[in-house]
Amino acid sequence: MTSGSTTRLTAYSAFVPALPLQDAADLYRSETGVDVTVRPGRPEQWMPRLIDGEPADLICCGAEFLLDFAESKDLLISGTRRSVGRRCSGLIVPAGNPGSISGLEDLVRPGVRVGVAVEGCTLGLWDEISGRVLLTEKIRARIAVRARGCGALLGVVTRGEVDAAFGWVNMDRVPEMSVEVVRLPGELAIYRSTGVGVLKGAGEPRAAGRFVEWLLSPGARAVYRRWGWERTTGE
Amino acid sequence: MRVFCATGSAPPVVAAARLYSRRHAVEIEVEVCGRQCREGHDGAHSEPHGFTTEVLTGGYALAIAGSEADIDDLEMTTAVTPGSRRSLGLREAAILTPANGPGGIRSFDDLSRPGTRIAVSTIDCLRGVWEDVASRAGCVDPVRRNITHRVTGCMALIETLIQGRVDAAIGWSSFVHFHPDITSIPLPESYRIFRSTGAAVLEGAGDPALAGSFIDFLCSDEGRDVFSRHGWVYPAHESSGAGQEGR
Repeated sequence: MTSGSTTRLTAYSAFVPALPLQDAADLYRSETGVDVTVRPGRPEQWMPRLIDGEPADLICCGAEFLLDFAESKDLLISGTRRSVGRRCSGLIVPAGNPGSISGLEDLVRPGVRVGVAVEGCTLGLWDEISGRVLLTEKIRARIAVRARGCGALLGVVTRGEVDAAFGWVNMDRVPEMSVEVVRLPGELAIYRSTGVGVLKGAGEPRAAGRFVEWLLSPGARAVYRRWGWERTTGE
Repeated sequence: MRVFCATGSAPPVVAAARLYSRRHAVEIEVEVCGRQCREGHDGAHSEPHGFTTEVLTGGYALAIAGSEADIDDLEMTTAVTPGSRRSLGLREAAILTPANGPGGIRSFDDLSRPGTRIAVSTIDCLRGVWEDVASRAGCVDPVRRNITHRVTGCMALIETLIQGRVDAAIGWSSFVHFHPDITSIPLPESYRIFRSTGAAVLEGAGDPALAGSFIDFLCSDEGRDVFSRHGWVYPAHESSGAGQEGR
């Protein structure tokens, strides 16, 4: 939408990826005057609204499969998807690590409570990590909370309702969440990309496309690096 | 006893059910995903997805899915009998190609070549597998650019290969058992992704003890031999003889 001389874009984003996206949008506005409104929420909630025709210019999700879904529903302009960085898997524990979790093997101790998310970017993460070390049964037996998404999972950890959860190593940077990160050995690492794409229903598709390309610039990369996103290598 | 099984996991379940039926004089009916799975489960929609819907509305004694996430979805309802979930084994992600190899695909690097046509599945057990492999290889963008077919489900993925509509697909190595015209190219060890095939007894099962007994059989050495013959892997079994824990 163009209001007077100001171009305005609307971006729907998953909760945690909205944090760097908002900072990037602020920087973009200061550089270009283009206003990008970031609307955070669970993709499982806003995606159906976009399918139903709610207007917006672009979307941002914390895993490629969520954008695959958008693309399979013909929501995105072909060729506009970009990866703005990736996150590495890790264990998230409450501040102070009261469960003394130092690695995956601690999750199978009697009484340990584990959290997982069953929607959003961490879907299936625990299956892949546990499977690599053949602890599927034992870790599943410790799952005490299945949260809907990352935001809910971080709340569960912050409140100490679990001793550890499967998440991303930069989740300790999310404001107002009192969590710490326990890194896992490299062979257990799962990486998922945070992706953006321009919507077919965009009011300003060219401006949205320019913003998406700008998100790959050194300035935007620095924003994502500050929030703990790694550069997606080999591209 | 009626068993609901994800289509891609069904062949060993059907074979094991025959063995179990003969031994225990029990009739086991294995049903696979229908249209609801293909059209309903998308992993990003507030509606109940096809797998869960089909399981909940079918009057089944137990459910088997190709990833733990699918059984997690079920467990978000009250359908799963607590403590009944078991892992039946792992499947290994692989590059699948039509057997005559028209695209000349020999390694994961070839998937980034301009013009390569790739298929992925956007639902159920294969949700996101392509990304988890490609991100380990550091080539999410180039691989994504070559994805020409986003299909819904394992069988649709296999069809795209058989019909030669793509040069490669990212799926499970076990898919070679579905059709002789499919070849599996193993991934380098550092790119490999495994997901567990899960089973759970369902609340409302007419004979929960029987359902549990069948799952025990699927997890026995004999049951696992059946799964192994269909391409499931048990790395610990190979290395230590211990098998996946929890047996």
